[in-house]
Amino acid sequence: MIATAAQLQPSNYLNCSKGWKSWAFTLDHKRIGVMYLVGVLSAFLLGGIFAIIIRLELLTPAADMLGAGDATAAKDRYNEFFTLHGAIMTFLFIIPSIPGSLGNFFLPIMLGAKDVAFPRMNLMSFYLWVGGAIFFLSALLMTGLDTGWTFYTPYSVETNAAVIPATIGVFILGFSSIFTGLNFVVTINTMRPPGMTWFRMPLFLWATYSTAIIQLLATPVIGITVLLLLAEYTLQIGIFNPAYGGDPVLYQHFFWFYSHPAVYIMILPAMGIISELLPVFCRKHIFGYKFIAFSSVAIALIGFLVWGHHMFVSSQSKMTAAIFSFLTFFVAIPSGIKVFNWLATMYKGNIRLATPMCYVLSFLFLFTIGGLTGLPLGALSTDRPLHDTYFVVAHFHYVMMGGTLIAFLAGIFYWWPKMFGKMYNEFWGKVSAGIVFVGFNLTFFPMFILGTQGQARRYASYEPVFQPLHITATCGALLLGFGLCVAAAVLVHSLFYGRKAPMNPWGAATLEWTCTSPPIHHNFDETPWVGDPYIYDNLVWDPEIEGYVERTPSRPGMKPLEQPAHA
Amino acid sequence: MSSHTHHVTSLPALFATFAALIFLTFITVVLAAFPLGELDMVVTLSIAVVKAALVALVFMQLMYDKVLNSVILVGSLLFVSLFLGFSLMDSLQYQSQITNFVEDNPPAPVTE
Amino acid sequence: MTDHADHHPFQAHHFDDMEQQFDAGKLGMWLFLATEVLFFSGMFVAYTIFRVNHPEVFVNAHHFLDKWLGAFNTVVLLASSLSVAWGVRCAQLDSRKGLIACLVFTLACAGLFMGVKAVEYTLKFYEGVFWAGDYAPPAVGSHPDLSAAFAMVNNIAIGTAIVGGLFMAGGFVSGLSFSKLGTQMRGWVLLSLGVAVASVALGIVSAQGIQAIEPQLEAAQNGLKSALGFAVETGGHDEHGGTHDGEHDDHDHDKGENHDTNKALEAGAETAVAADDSATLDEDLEPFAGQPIKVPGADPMDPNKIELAIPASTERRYEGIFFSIYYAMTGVHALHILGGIGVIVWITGRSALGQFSHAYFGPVEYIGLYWHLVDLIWIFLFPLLYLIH
Repeated sequence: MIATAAQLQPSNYLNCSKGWKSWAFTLDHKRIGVMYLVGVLSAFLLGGIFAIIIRLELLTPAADMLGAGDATAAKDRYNEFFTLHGAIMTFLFIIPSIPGSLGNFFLPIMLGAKDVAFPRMNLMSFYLWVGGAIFFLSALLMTGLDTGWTFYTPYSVETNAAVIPATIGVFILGFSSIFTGLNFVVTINTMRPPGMTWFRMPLFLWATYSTAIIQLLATPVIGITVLLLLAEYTLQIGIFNPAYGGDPVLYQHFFWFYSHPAVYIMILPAMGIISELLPVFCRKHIFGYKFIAFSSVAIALIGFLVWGHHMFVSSQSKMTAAIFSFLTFFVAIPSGIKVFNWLATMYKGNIRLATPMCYVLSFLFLFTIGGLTGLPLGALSTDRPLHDTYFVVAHFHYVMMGGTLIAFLAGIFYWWPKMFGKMYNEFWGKVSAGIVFVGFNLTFFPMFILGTQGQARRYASYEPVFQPLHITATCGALLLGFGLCVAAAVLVHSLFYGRKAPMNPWGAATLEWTCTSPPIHHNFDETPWVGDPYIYDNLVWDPEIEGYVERTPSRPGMKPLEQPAHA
Repeated sequence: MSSHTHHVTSLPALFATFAALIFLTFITVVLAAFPLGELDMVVTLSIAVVKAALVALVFMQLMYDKVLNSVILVGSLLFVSLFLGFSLMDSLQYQSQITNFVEDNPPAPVTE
Repeated sequence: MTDHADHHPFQAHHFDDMEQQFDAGKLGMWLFLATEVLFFSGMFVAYTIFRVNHPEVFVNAHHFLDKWLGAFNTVVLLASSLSVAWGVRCAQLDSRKGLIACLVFTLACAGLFMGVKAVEYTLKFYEGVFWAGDYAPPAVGSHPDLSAAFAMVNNIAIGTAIVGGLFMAGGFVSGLSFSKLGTQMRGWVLLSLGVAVASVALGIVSAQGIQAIEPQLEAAQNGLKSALGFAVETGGHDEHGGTHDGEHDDHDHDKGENHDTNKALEAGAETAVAADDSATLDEDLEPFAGQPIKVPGADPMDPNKIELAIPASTERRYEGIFFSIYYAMTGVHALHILGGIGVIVWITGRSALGQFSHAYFGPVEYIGLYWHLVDLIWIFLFPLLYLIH
């Protein structure tokens, strides 16, 4: 390796400037990504604590723990805890999680750009997220929030709970999400360097692009919805309130026009991460690149056609319900295409079970279960008995948590060496993946059974006959929490004691691995050469640096251009 | 970047558009006084669409601009119609339930 | 303003060239406009659904709105759109004076628009025409005393005139000059802000002027109608010439032709309303005339009181929703105007510094696009709220 003086300088985006102001006012997409990462993980911790509290309450059939024996108080508390668990996990964690952190950090680098198109707007997006989080926390500290994360009227305009700060929080978070999405679309459309054609883009970019389309088209609707809800609550404008002739089912249409596509805001980037990691750890070109790319766009668009399947039991007309049920099945097609392509990529691949790959396999298993259990919920006839039971809870946790969270973890473990320049302990990383996998299934699989047996969701108390399964789920939740703590410990430990990461520890061919670890402030010293992101033939393992280096392709009849000096 | 790569709208074009917009506004206001019956909504909204198209094409320069920008505008309208279409279809279908409920529960007298 | 051949002072480091920067900004603006369209779509959907299900109510209720004021505001917004488009042209042609003049004119139009809106809102508030929760309209046929409302409107006019004048004076004191660069930003910012604020007063005056000549406008319109051979079905407009409540009488007179779509609701009403009798609805409403419609159980602070109660008059109940939607739509639209005023003031200041030229006029173009979209939305709001029968 010949290193010029410039390359020897240890300057990178982390240490190029110092002081809290250099972070608070940074316009560097990488630092904003790191701040987002810290933010969303803190929100995840808070939401996770609420989840554990919910599960502990459900250890016994009676509503007792949260009210210290007083059943009414316990039930009120329970309503607040599941509401805030849901609201924090959706609005503060899972929607901004992957786009905000990994997307912000890696989208420009993978594209070969110096930054996102609007760096100031990017920083604004983060601070709006912080503002929204503050409003949510104030709702928590005021009178709590017990409407469920959906804010269904008329209850949400009649309750004494802190609906006002919560809806303002959602409104602000909507802007945060829109700004992120807008930045991504413009960056990908206008800032691709020469050679980076649409079909040379890594699939993670296709996924974030599709996500951004949803963010742009759906999020404004939740904005106006919560604004009208706010006016409903404060001024009684009556549009959603039957007491004034309003229409609560209309509210549900408004809400789900955003919130169903929002489900794809959550899962699409996760699918992008999986498409990125699988070929790297199978040492094989991704199977069906264009199919995966277009299936992301297809999911984004079809996702807008199916929102009514959340309303099958709420006065929606029969015909509309039937149409929505029919359309719902179309989402299964692009999702299925993705899973088949991933499996085909693994077929005859040289699979290496590094920590990120363990999480990827975990994702494939859990997401498939989550996706398939979605079919009985999308079918009108089977949804009727299953609606609002634990079956639904289990289904969307398998998709959201087994899908998005696990993929997020996979992405964090995969890109950690690039983000912070440190390698973590592989053994304990794999152990964390194992514990999370077991704990997750232990928590949520019993809920499928509970749901089919008729256990309704959102109740603090239940029939004693359900107790064994509830105890299993609670034990699973504790194990899952422990597994996540192990994962966190592995990562934090590496920051202080990990060995220095090479440029390309996994042998990936996307552009971020041609940067130093961590990347320099402007990402690239010179505009990178863009090739196929999934061809690994030129990358060979160099035991000296414990990473991959690029080998000049040697073809018959072609001499190497230059011999290294020490050869 | 120089101005020759960007369309500079001529003053006659701007003023002609403005005049057309004012004329259409006048027409629509006057027509509102005429009993057109069923046609009323169609005519009024058609005039609004024409006005909107004039603003978009000339003032917003979509006529001379990248096709992508038009696609974005039209695309957003498609999603609006999707939103509107489904909600309206559903609302029309379940409206009879509301009407029946109102009939079965006669109005309570207003009490002060 | 001249610039370096390869690197313009306003080029951000992460763009390759000004063209890329311009394209990125413009695409970003268009995407933002798409989000705005979707944002407003919620209210259009609510409007459509309530209108389609209760057409007669909406048609009756919209007569509370003064179409002449709406038309005036439409013309004002169209003129502002023209001037913004002209401003972009000026920037492209390096005409700094023209650009500033266009922007200031746009601000004046924006102020006018807000002034007219202020008159409309204030009159409705004093009449009790609020959103559904506080909807307490005047009794049919009554002529509420609105002198307090006019006093309030005039106070607003005087206040905005003084504040706007002070801003403008401040602008002149700070020094305005087309010739010197770099020192006029504060002056032009203050002046343009003053123009916007003072124009509110002008708008209020204009609105009252229009209301004063409305009988003549109606007469001209009826003259046109009879000239074209249409029946002029109302005879009552001359009874109250010059007063501000002329629109209420529209309300009475136009009702007859719209009743026939009211079948479903009539069936459940206590008194069967004959479809073609324009007098019966008034009688139907008579017991409640002039009273606020109280809805038991509508108190959000007292959940124990909740019991679904249907107000005595279903028509009036949905009228309240019409005004909820009216306030939501026009209110959010007005907020967009206010936001636009803020940005245009800032752009005016930057223009005074001579920052825009054929080589760099992105921000002017972006705010122009935004302003046109606000205009576009009004183009639909006006007929939907003020005109449709």
